[in-house]
Amino acid sequence: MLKNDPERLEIAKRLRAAREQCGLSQGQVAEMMGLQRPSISELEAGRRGVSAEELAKLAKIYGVSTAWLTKSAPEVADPSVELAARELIKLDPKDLDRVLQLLKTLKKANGPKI
Amino acid sequence: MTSRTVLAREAMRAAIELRDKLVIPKDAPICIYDVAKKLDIDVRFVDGDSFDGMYSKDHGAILVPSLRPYGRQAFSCAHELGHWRFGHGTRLDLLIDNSMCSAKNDEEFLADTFAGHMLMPLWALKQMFLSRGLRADTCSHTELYGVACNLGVGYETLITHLYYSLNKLSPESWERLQKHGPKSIREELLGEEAAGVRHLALVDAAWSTVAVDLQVGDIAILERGERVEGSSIVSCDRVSSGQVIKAVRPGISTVFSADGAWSVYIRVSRKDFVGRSDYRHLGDPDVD
Repeated sequence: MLKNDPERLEIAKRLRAAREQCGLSQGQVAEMMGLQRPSISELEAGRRGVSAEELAKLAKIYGVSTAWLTKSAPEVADPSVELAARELIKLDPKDLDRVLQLLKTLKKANGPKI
Repeated sequence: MTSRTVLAREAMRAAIELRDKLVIPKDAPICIYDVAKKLDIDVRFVDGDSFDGMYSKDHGAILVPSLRPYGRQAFSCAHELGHWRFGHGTRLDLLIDNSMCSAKNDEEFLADTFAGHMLMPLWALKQMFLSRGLRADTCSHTELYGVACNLGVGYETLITHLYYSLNKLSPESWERLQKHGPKSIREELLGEEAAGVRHLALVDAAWSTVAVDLQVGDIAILERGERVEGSSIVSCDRVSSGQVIKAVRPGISTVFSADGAWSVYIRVSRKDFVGRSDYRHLGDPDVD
């Protein structure tokens, strides 16, 4: 994959979005991955490629699907997204958009643990 | 028996069963986010305040708005956990249709009642009052506020639960306690220092089991908090009810009594934290 490959840049953009979405700093992710902090910023700038192993580990830390990170998941709205929402009438369009964007990235549940 | 009474019993039974399955003592307060984690449910704090909470069945995820008060967030998370427990879930495209709302009333009641019994089961309340030498009907508003803090719920939520769900307050006590709110209690206990403080945790010597959760900028008053270990909090002045500490950075600290016989963990998250609940108390090397 080339350095300025649009695919790599898209993955880099998604890695950053997923990290911010789960409330971690680059330093915190670096610690969890056993990497130096600059490695994470290089990944997120698209200047460094990400291995399949790193991608799986990052997806687990961020709680997102690898399919979304690699852009192999469909972009169309997922009609199977099920929500129980109180006061949905009060939900402003900005919050609704934010929530839907988040749900698109999350991995599907395995089913109840209990 | 009315259908609501049946639903209330079903909700209470479900909360008791879930606590049993997770081996949580009936009389112990809980951190609802820790409970969700044990169940592999991904709790996310989301930037926003125009909603109370959401449960996505497909993703096994609960979304909690980051800008709501601490006690409200915990109750919302427990409410969404109720939806998870009862297998609720309405497709988004249908939910946008407002005509569905009336059909959801029973489900909302079930989830709300489940949340009440999950966070404030009768046995835990009895233990809370007993260990403090209090009675719900005669305790002061500040004493009740301390109990609410230990349970991780809002002051008004606790009064409502005691009055409506458990019938443990007389109408007179209900009225007396209703005259106060978190803001006036903060002002009463902290004086001028209450200005700008969004959450005050009142941690008495009977505080049990759970950690004290704060956000940066929040304050706690500890009846027996003489020695601090950790950099996420700093000691401030003393007030009549105890030692004041302030949350200054994310991380986990410990506070001990002078004789070392009593201690409590203080977990601090970023102000208005947005992200996975698991990560809210992580120290940040980018800030340290």
